[in-house]
Amino acid sequence: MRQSQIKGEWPWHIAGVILGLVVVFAFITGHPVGTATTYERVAGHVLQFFFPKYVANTVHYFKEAAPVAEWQVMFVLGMLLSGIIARYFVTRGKGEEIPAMWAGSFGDNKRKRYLQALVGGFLLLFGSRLAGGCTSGLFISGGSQLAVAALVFAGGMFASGIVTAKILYRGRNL
Amino acid sequence: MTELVRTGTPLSVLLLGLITGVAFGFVIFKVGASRYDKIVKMLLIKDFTVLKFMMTAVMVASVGIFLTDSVIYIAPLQLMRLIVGSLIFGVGFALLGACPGTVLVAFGEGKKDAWYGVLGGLLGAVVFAHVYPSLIDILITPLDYGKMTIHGLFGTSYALGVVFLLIVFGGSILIINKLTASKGGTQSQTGAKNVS
Repeated sequence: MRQSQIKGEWPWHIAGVILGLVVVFAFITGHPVGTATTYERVAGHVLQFFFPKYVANTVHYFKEAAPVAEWQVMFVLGMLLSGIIARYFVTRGKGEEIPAMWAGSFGDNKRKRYLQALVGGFLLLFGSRLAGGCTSGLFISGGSQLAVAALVFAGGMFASGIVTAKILYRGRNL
Repeated sequence: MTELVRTGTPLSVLLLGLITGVAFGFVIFKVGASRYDKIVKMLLIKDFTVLKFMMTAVMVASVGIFLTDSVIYIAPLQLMRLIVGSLIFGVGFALLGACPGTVLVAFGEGKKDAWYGVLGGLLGAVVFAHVYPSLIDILITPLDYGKMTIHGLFGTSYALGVVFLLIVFGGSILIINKLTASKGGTQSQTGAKNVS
């Protein structure tokens, strides 16, 4: 199985060094990188518009993730923006409806893929919030500050991730 | 009309966050980490690009943060929440083929399934916020070892902790390169030195 490096993509070591420098820049300017909390802030903000009482009475929103804009919310918006920049200036095309690899193994039922993505996203953020961070917040920021929590998180996410992927693709051609 | 976004953060800091996010996301895009197949093939133990990329970033950042003395916050080693949370996370990771950050890049790229991933993520965050109070006693507070670091665990200096991380991550990358190279020279185009 050859590893694919699509034309124009950066090799892992160069990209890794650049990402590491971006992380250092974030720390020097006073902020650890992180993503998961923002989902809660944004969701809290939307909910607050419709159900202000509910949000005010849900202790967690105000204690640990008040629905306000701050550095991390902007960081997350920046990631979204980078994708938009990539789309209009690099790939210059419409994004794929469903991943080609997925379609190759599971067929072209879009609804099935979207449902899987929805459930996946749900578990991803529920798990993140429970663990106290995600790949960026816990593994990258945490690991870069030598937090043991980062290593435990990485171990857990790869353990269940590998098992889940193996089960999903068992007996299917790649 | 109430203000749309409450913010007590200065505009300069918000702008800094945005710029950092664009840089972070663009590197993720450029290495292919916003691609479903890259993530899932990593979990199927067939493509280690993203894993090596992340470990390299952590190695560089750990040295940079050490040299500039800019540690901000050590996540507490709360084993229960970390283990249960990461195991749930991993299932979502494999189903979606992205993590909370990379799915946003994919969303920006216009990938349709990422839209559902983000929506699911927002729902997951809401449900978590709702059930959080009932989880505190069973998952958050038990087995809490506080702000534990690698050097704190071994009782060594911070510098030695960084060296330990470099050896473990760097060693892992070298081993991965050796193993994948022996399976058929998969690293040749990324310039690995250990092609024997």
